[in-house]
Amino acid sequence: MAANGNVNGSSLVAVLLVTRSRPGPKLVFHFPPNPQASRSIRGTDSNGCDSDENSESDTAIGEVKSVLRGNAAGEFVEDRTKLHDTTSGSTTNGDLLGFTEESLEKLLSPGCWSDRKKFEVCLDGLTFVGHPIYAAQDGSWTRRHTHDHDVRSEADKEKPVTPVKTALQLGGAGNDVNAARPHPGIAIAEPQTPAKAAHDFTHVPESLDSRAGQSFATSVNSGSSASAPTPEPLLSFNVVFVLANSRSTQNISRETSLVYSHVAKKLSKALNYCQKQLSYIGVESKKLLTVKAKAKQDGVDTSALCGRMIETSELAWALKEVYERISMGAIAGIRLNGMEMSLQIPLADSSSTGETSDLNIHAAILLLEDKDTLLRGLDHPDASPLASLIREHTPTKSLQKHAVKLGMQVNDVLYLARHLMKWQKACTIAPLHPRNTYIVGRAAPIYRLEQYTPEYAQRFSALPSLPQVLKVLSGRPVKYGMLIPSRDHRAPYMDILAYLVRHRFVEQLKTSGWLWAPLLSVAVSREAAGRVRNQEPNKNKRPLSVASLLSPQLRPVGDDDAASVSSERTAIPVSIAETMKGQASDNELHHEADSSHAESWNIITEPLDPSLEDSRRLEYIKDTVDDEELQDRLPSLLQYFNGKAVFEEIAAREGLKRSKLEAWLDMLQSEDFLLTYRHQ
Amino acid sequence: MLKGIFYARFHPGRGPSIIHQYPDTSIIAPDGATEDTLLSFSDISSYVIPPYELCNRPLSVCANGKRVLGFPISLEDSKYERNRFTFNVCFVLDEHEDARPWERVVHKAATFFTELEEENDMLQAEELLEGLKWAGDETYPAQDIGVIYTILESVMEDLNAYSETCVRIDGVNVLNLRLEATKVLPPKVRAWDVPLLIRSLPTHNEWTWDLTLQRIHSYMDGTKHVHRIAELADVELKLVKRAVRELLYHERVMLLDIFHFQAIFASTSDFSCFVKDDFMLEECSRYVAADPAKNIFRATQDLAPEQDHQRFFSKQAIISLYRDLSPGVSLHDFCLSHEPELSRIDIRRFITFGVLKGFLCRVHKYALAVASQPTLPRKSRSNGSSTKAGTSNDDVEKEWDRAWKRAAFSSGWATPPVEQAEAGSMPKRGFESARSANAQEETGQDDRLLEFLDGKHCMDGICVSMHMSEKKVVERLKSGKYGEVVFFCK
Repeated sequence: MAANGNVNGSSLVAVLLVTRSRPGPKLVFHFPPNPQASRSIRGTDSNGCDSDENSESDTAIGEVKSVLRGNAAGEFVEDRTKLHDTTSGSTTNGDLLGFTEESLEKLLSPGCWSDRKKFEVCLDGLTFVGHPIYAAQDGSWTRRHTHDHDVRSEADKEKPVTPVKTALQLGGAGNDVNAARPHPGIAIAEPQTPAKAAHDFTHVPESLDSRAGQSFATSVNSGSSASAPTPEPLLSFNVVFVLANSRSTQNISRETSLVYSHVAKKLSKALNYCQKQLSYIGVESKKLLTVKAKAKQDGVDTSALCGRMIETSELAWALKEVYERISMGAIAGIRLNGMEMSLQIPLADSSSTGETSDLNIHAAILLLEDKDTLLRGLDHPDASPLASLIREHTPTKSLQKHAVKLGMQVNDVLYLARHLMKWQKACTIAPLHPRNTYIVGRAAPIYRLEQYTPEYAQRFSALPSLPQVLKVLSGRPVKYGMLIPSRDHRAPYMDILAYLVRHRFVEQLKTSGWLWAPLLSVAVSREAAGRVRNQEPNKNKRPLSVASLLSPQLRPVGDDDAASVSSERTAIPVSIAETMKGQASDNELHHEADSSHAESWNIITEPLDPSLEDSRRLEYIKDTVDDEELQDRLPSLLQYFNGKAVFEEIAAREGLKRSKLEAWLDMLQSEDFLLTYRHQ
Repeated sequence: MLKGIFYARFHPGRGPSIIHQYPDTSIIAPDGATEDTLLSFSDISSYVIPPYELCNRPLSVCANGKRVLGFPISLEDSKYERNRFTFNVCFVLDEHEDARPWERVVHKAATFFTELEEENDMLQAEELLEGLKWAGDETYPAQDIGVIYTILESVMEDLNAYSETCVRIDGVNVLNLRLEATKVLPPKVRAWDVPLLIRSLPTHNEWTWDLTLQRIHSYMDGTKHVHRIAELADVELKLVKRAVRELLYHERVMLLDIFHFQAIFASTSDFSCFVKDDFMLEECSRYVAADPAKNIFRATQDLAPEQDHQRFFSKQAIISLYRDLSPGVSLHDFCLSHEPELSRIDIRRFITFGVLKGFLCRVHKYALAVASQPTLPRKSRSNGSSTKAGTSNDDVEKEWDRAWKRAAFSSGWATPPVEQAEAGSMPKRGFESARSANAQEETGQDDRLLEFLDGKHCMDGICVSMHMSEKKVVERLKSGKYGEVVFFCK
């Protein structure tokens, strides 16, 4: 089974449905049919024969009950033993996760102290987590209306439940009738509670929980006038997710709480809603138990039984779906009683592309599925704002621009984007731009290249093949635009880029940096000495990588530069080596010249809160640069020279033209005031 | 932080009951009040004393924002009422606290209590003592009666204060507990990782060194990769990997990449932290400073003997040097273009420092055979895993064969006469067979190389397992035998 085991880090091993009604808790359904915990589980102790086991547990439970209930308890102990006999007779193959079904039933039906709370039990390396839901104290599921129909009758209380029990125990005939019966079509407003629910719920037989019933004892009541859709009242249900605590699991408790809050709790709440409306769980679990009983008679094996149950019951199918999807880290789309819902464990902080996921108006989103597929999945593909966002979407534009284009509020666009991200239909990226540099990312699935090649070839026929493109991008970093042969090619090449980013082949190489400058006294002498040097076109002072980032024009492929890119990378083009050498010796001269002043050159690490010396340095920088506009704008740009901010994003944030900003940075660079580095 | 600890048992008359607890009213208050207790025992009693078949294994439950860690023990003996004695020593923590370090403590405590009962009948006997108060009684606890209360008290107080405890009951029964933070297991060590000792190992007196560690210790110099160490120390590769992983776990070594000049390094976003950290810069300039006389770049430079203070680089110079390492620039090119500065820097240390501090990372090279027609039969690709297993088996066999031969030759045994005769009588045939063996080996190598071209194996790994230099491997891959091979750096 593909979904079995720990796919994508999820240590989910099984999902179980345990219900409790008067005869006791029942493990109604579990999936997968033969769950395999990734650790070896010790079997039940072999010392002591079966009869011993039964009597021990019976006495334990019975003891407690007799304390509470006196004679009534005896009756239920009896019932229980009967039930025991039938089950133990039929479950020959027995074990589930290394435990008997009865043990699990007892373990997973806690007392009403756990009602609508997190229920978590760890047993021998397995964590069971669920969100048990109980019927109201009177046994009804429609809380709001109970007081309206508060008909208390002693007669009700004493009414025997024997018929119900027989139906359950016999399994076959009686239940078939129930299962075949259509859902009662009663509206929400009308309480569904069967009249039988009026029973005395003080005992919760067969439960591990001993005194849970006490609080029930005070309130006795009838569920109302409604006809009884099911003859057997459901007291509680608990959808339990089982996680294995293997050695490789780093943090089982974190995973447990994720499964709880995003899956178990939400699913239980939805089921509770369905149960309130149409006694959904009651009906479905009855169906399932009938199938189970029949299968036992026929001697069907577990997997076949499981298949039958999934065919029979929508609930079983839903649980299977949830298990399979969630354990793969995917989204589970299920349908409960005609109501659709989706469940997922949200991804960790970083989105799937590894970009930072903080969404702001300057970020763009990248759709992870095709537009057509997404649009088809929408209810109103023509009209809704979401649909128009998807239709107009392009990863090269920031959300702000999208908002303007669509005539929507920025906040609305952010909301829609977040919605798409939440359901893994999109991720946030910095807007794709030909002036940015992209390189093959660390997480690039190179080993699955063959798998992507046909799709890529189909989409981008007549363009460079996927391996070729990646080969170029994994070489010396150049601006993406340099790879685009002509203006006409721009759109398809940007599509290629989006495709590569979507499949995590490439990441953006970002530039950050600081300003640095000499101390004023040094600066003056430097100015005297260095003016001459600065006059000459000295762009090559910095390594070419930086120079090319900041060069104002884009050149089409065919230039020397681009040729060197596509050539083998192991030998670095002479020009670069020369350049770097030149720069290095330049530096060397520099050091030789004022090695005693070396320390006075200082990086301004806190441009917004500079020390006295640093503010003098900043002044000096400002005075030295030639461009007046830059002098004006420099104070507002200072915040980006902190070593963290990404230079490629400045233009969008400041509302500047990229070429202008790059010219400015180039200017600072040529004056040797800018220290940049690049990172992924 | 332990919130409470209690000892409960199944009492034939009362059902699950707490006999001792610490602090005194943590679980059951005297007057049945529930406001100040950590949780309601009646809620969870069925998990504290579960049915017999769930006993003798760890069982914990969460309730009321607390996590109750237990290890229910059920002892069977005819001396007990109903032939069974079931008890549990439970530790109460906050629900969100990491329970993993406590699991072993709970287990050990349960084992200890079991021994107390099985060998000394101490648990059952304590209830017969006169004047013993049960948890929840008005005057609980009764001073100086029984031992369990004392045990619970010291366990909780000591564990909270010192994370360890030692409770001596009598001459033989001593309970030692220690909380140890669980460490994440380090990733598996690969053959081409280079272990570098970052702290000296404790001496033989402090640590018991295992045999592997004893043999490989002297070879771990921060330059040799695991495979090489294994060869030099004549230890099986698997054992070396295991030993290095152990050292990793204890944070005694860090793993580096093989240092060679084809390697590419790039700065990470942590570089900004490095720039701001004066202390680290200082440390760096001391660490990377090289004795110019010994430096390989020295030869090409003609610098006058320097003063001591000049040997250390300025922070700015170091930063610009690191900054110039970028994806796409191999170390070779970097060194050529920075020759003058590097005369004063130990380039290996320069790289190592960056990698250790995490602001520099290695860009690995991968090779991928693109689906065109290679001249070699692509059996390993088409057959998938089955052939892979086959060849790796072959590898093992060859390795074993080699090892055996080496051992045989070095041991001074007489070599089997058959081979001798053959070698002696027919030198020409021997030469031919050697040649054919060569060819065979080459095809074997081709097969092995082909397996590495799936885009999952980095070049360092290929070189190490092929015993070839990167240049040779690349040459070979480009020969056309393997179809089109594309190299990626990431």
